[in-house]
Amino acid sequence: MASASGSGAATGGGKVTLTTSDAENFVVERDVANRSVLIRNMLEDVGESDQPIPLPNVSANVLKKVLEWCEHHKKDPEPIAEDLDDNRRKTTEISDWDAKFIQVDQEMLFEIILAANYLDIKPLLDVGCKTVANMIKGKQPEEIRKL
Amino acid sequence: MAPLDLPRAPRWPPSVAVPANYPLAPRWPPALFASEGAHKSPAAPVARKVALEGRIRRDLFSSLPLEVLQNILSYAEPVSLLALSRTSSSFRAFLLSRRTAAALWAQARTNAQLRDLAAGDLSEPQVAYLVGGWECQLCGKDVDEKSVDFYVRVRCCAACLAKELKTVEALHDDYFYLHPKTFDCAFRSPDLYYAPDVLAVSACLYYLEAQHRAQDRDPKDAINNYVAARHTLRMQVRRDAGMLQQYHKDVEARREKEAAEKLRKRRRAYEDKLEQLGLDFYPYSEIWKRLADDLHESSADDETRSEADARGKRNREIEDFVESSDPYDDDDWEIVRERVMAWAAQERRIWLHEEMQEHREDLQDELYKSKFWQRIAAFIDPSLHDLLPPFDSFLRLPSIQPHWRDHPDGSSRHAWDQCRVALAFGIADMVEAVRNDKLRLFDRIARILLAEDDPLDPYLVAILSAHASPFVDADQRKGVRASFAQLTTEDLDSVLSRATALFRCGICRAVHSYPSIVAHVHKTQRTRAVPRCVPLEPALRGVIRQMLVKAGMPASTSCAALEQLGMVFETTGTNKWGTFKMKGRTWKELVDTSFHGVETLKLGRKLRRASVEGPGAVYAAADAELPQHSKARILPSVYGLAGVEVLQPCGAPQ
Repeated sequence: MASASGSGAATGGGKVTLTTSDAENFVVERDVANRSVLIRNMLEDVGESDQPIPLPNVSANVLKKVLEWCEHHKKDPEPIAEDLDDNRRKTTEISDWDAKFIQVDQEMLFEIILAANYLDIKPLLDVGCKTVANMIKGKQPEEIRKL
Repeated sequence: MAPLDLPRAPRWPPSVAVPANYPLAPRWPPALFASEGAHKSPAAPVARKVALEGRIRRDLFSSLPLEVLQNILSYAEPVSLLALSRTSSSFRAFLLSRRTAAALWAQARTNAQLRDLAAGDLSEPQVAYLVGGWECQLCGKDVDEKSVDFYVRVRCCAACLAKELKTVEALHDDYFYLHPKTFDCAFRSPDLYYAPDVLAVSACLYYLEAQHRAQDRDPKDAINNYVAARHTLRMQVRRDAGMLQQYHKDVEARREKEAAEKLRKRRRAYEDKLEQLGLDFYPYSEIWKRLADDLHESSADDETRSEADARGKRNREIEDFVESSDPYDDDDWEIVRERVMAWAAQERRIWLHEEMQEHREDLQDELYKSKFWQRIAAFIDPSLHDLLPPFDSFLRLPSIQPHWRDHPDGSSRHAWDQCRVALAFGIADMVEAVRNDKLRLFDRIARILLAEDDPLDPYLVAILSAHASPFVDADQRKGVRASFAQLTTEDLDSVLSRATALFRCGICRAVHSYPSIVAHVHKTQRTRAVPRCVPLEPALRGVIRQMLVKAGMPASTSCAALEQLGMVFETTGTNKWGTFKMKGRTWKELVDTSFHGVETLKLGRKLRRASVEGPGAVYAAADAELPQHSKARILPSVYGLAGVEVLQPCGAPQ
């Protein structure tokens, strides 16, 4: 099973069907879906299968946005696992495309963050977290409360 | 045991109290080193009720899982954490607990590139407040980042700082009971002390002293130890102050750089948009200046209030658009699209016009280089050459203008050079231009002389009275009126040659008669003559007229007559050095002085005597050079002595 899924992941070919919480199906390329560690692990566990992957915590409009990000970043290298004790300086700089992508209303922003956390897409989660950190930056408590 | 009868330390004055929300005052009892108990928030949180505005809002932060929240906070800076800790009790509990949030604060300080302080007595939130707090720790007013004194470690507004920072003398005046060692321990900035800190330190010293005396011990060592520890702390605080000041500068520079970069990126994005649209102006960066300066709608006179509000709103949107640093947004672009497009269209028109102008100038250059002008002049009477229009006026002649104005493609580059028709018409136009200039000057001076009751030929008076201008509808392009067209050169010269018909150059103030005035303007000023020729001032004309009357000469006496007779004149006048009197000036010399300051003018004494006393003294030398017929014709009319033998000039046949 591992070899089968491994060969599938290696070729990057094939399509994967994702089913959202509101029962909408998304057919995506495998290497796009593989941006999510959750889905990749599920695919590795299940192997080659036509069965749709249920995502009960993600709604269709949020998954659409998440897949848009995955599509754009499908060729990005895998992020290196961070050392938890590493306390190097963290900046809130975001690439231009990501900045434009994340220009959504707050509700959607938090939904994307939650979805990225659930789907285990670390770079997308970081983009969302940096955006929220930027929203807090330079604000007084009263202003933060209004967020 | 009987109680010790020790002198009691002065009581803590009830009228003076350290403010309850003063976070950086020495703790009571004094503690020299940071401990868990020291890590309280810098200022007591002010209870504020969040206005729910009639609806319950979802707390988005609270809905996030803890690991996500930690991830978000790992990107924050200390001031943001401090602000967040003031938003809710749960955040306060989470962020102000050293156990749970120590790593977050450390990461936040790393993010902010803020080094550890040498003085370790401040907690992380206290450091954050000192570095970037937003309200005065004394009065609670909002303050900016710079309202801080790192040397006394106080963040407060200018008014509170001015009230609480005092000299030693002022503090002694205000508080007579300060402990003698107080000023060895209190923070100093640089010669001023922060009063609450001074009072707290003094109270600590008294407390130590009282405590030791109560236990029947010598307080000296304890006091000295406290002073030494405070001295060390004071040194550390001074070092920290220098570091924090530099940190503030670095942060400011970093922010400016980031803001500039952000703004540059945004503007670049919009300029790319303009480029994609292919708008006809360059550079695209001009748009920002244009938006800021010119694209504001100005108010109209009949504007209603609602229209004014709408205009104000549109202008504010433009201002926000220019000042914003947000990334490119299509909605933002819509705000300015219409105005930018209109401006671009206008720019295109200007650009096309400039291109056309440039092209025309090129053609004019070609005309000049081809010496077409000189070729035309070669066919014209040399006596008129000085009066021919300058090159600029030549270009506007009806026969010449089409050659450079109406050939946008420049195909006629050599056409005019070979066109005999153009040459013929050019000659006619040049001569006509000379004649028209003369007509205009004649018309101008003749009307003045007529108004001043100088005698003119009735024929001329009739023509001048019939029409206000020598040109049809006062427009030179429509041609000369028939009545003016039939005036002969002699008719025009009969007026233009008079001594009272002098002109002054409107640029250099030189005085000439026609045609010298035209030649002068063309030659020295290189401009069109007629607008630059100004008739002599009425007062000077009056002086000349008076001289002619006194000398018995007619008003129509010409300049040439005055020159030819070799007359000399006496003048008086005033200039910047005072009054002056000049004798023996010929008419030509007088004209050359431009009549500056001349107030009176009369014939030289010799001539006056000659005209009265008889022929014996008349024109001993000057007349000898004159042809006999001139003398015979001019003398009687000049001197008005007809019928007397003195009229006969010297040497004339009897």
